[in-house]
Amino acid sequence: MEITVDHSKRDAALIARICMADQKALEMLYRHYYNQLGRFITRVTVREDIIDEVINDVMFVVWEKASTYDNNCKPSTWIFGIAYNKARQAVRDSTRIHEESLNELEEDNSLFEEFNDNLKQLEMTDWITPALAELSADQRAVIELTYFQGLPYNEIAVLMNCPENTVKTRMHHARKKLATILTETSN
Amino acid sequence: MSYANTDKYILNTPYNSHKDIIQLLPWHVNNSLNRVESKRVENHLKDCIICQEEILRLQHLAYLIANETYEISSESSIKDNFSMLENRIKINSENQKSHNIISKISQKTFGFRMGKITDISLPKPALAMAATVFISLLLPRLEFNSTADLSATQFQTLSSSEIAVVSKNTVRVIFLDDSQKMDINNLLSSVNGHITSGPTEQGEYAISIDGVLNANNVKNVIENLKKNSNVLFAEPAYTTLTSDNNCEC
Repeated sequence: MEITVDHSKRDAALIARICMADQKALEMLYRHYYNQLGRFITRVTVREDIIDEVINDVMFVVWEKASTYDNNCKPSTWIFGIAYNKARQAVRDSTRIHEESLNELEEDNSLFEEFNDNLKQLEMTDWITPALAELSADQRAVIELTYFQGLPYNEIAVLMNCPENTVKTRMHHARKKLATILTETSN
Repeated sequence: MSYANTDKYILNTPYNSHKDIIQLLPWHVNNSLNRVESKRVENHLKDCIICQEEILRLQHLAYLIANETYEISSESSIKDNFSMLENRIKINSENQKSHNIISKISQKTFGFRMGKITDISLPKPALAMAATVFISLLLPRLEFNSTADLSATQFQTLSSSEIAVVSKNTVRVIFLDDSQKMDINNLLSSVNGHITSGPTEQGEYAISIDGVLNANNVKNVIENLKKNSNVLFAEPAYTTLTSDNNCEC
């Protein structure tokens, strides 16, 4: 589960090389983080079509801002912090686009019925994915960072740039919501 | 701090309430709490059934999330995406270089101009002299240009000494209201003229002078017309008369 923690020294060295405009180091870091970032971004945005774009946005920031990494936190925390911000930005953009497309599709009820049927089927086979989709992007990020990345709450607070209590509160609300969804799905 | 003291410390801290402990459970499940926090949670779990049940639910949730299938990208896909990132970096770098060059050029140009202006330390009389020489050199050229422009457009005023000759030898004339038709005809005969159009709303006639070849002849005719008591107004015709005015004479 704790994939990035053991590689802090290696990642810090790569970031130091990136500061010297070493593209080979960037490529290595890119390969190490590609799938982890992909999964995290998918979790936060609930969109698979923009993963590559957001990953490249994240790694572009890593390239541009490598010199600002100050070793106060783990390299993975720094990179996931960037990913969190980029993913949130993508959520904001997609929410706007989604609202616009909803307005366009408002009159086409058949498309909505088809969408609802698919969602019901998905709920029956795999409740966790649609259940997590019901949470806010921040709550999904806390769940993912806790249970998949295995990060402590204080590190998540650094990554999300918020107080530790906010992390705990987000987790608390996420758990309550998931419990409600699970009960409804069971019924 | 010994373990005995640690336990005493844990039990005496204000963060041992159910509300506080239950918030730490997710991180107890992922084993990321520090030793003091872990001990506190473990102590609480011994007596709290609610938290024991919650721990089971959280362990299940952690299991589901950790084992959720995620399609890992292929090597070729990662390579292609990294190529796109490299291109982006390259384009950004080139744009940055261009931006820097433009900034340097503009800075240099601006600095050069400012330098020229600020470097001028001539006394005021010398500057005045230089300005006078500059204007004296410029003025003849301006005068020449303005004359050329005037001749090109044949622009003149009524007070000009020279009368611009129009294509027709026509004059504009206004007669007194009580003028007799015979008197007018006699007057026109005396200047070899005939009415081509009029009167307009203002009582103006266009009179064509037969056999007049130049501007001086037109001027003389006008002078003669002005001397006549029946003539109120006589001037060379330009374009004031409209062709659709019919003669009522």
